[in-house]
Amino acid sequence: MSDSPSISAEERKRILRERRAAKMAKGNATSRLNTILTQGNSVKDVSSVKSVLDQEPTGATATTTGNHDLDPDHHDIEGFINTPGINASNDSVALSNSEDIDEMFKKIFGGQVPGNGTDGAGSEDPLAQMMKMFSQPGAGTGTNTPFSEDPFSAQPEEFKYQQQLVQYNTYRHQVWKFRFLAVRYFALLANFIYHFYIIGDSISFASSSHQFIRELIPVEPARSFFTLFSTIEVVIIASYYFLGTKEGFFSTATSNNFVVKLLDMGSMVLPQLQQFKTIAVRLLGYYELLAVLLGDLSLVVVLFGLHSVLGN
Amino acid sequence: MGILAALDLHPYTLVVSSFTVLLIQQLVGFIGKSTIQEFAWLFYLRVGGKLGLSNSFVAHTKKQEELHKLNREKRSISAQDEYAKWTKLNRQAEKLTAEVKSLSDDIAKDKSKINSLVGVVLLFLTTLPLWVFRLWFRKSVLFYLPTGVFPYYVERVLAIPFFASGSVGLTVWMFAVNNVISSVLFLLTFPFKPSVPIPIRQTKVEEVVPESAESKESSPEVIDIADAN
Repeated sequence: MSDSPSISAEERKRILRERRAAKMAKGNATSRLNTILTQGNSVKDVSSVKSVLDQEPTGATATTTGNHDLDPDHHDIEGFINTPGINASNDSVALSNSEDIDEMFKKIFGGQVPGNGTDGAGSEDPLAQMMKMFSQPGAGTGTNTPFSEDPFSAQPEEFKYQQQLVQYNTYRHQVWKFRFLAVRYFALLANFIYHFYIIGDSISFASSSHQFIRELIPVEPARSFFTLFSTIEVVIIASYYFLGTKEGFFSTATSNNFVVKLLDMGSMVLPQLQQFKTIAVRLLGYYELLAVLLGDLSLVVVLFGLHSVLGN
Repeated sequence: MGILAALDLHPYTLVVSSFTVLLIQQLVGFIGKSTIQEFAWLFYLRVGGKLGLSNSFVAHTKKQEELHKLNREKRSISAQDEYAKWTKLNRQAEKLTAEVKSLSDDIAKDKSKINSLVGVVLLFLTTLPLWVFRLWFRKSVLFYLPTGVFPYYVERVLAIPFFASGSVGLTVWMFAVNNVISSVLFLLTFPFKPSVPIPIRQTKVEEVVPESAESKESSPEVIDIADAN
């Protein structure tokens, strides 16, 4: 082999290929193959492998199966057994049995994947597809959740990043919850204390364990308590909803919800369930708003309850 | 009111006691049962030792010190040169090890006793009173809201499940107290929680390989097996 720096890699490959082809054309392929196979063996000539280059061309075995005589003198039953789908189209006839099974499996699993089974995505492992569907809490919600990208294409760093993002979103949700809670409690306490002191009357704005308190005629300022309460609630709930939709922490909060997880699992069997997931996430968001209202009402109830103790 | 009167309980007593029980329950949940059990065990070791309750722990400490001393002595001598002494020490060490083991078992039993005692105390402090309240005072009105403060529909909601409008029963009261205490705990503890920083995505920077080097890599040395033979 004369190596000169002027010869390019492609040219060198071509020359080697030609030399190899010329060597093969000389014959003795079987003896050469046996020499290669028995390299390192202490006992020589133990291999009796025959090279395909020295085999006699058998002719009409595999390739001519498609050219059947439509009216033969006698029917070869074996031909019916071995020939895959004699009634099928001529394209599929050339496939061997094992190839047929592989193709059949590919078609079956490819057809179950949403989209089509012929493209790159469709020809993936069906188990991986199922897992992908299972681990997509943000799918179908229309929100940009951390899992909206393909988790299986992610590297370990990417996966770590996604985990950190989930933690960060949860923390951000808690921060907003804390801020709103502080504002709510401050406003409600201010409202309660204001009415408690402005009315002055020890009975009109007082709860009691005695039923007679219900028989008293309500004073006007007492009515404004609920007006102010509802105003505070409307403002706070509207702002919370606005921020929740803008910052996307409703979807973060609901992604771990049991109902959403159940829908995720169900959609693996019944893909139509994905459309209900959007509704479920929205309803859970509304439930959070209702929880804000109930929480504020709870504070007022507790204040009145404790006041009933102090009044006795 | 009938049961309250029979037990000579005023509704405000019920308000206060249920509030206290729920507060304790929330605090226990917040601190954690296992942490309380650990504290109780440490308290038992500290106080019980002085009162002569946890003798096994004191004995265990003494025996362990003795064992440590014996082992050190045993290591300092040669088993071949002073075989008799070494065997004597070894026998003593084995005996002490067995004693330490039995004392350890006693301590483990003591600890499980303390844990179960704490569990029973917590049960009597938190869970049982709430069940008693629910069973005995489920029909008792705890307090009445002032007239005109809430509209009718809100009063109706607060009178759940079957009280007259404007009154508050145990169900609503317990729900409200639980809600408020957990919110207050959240307000008090959240500022002390460590903040989570914004994650930064690590992008992979591909190294720029010179074209000549790349072509060299893509076409490795071809080994002609046929040539070799």
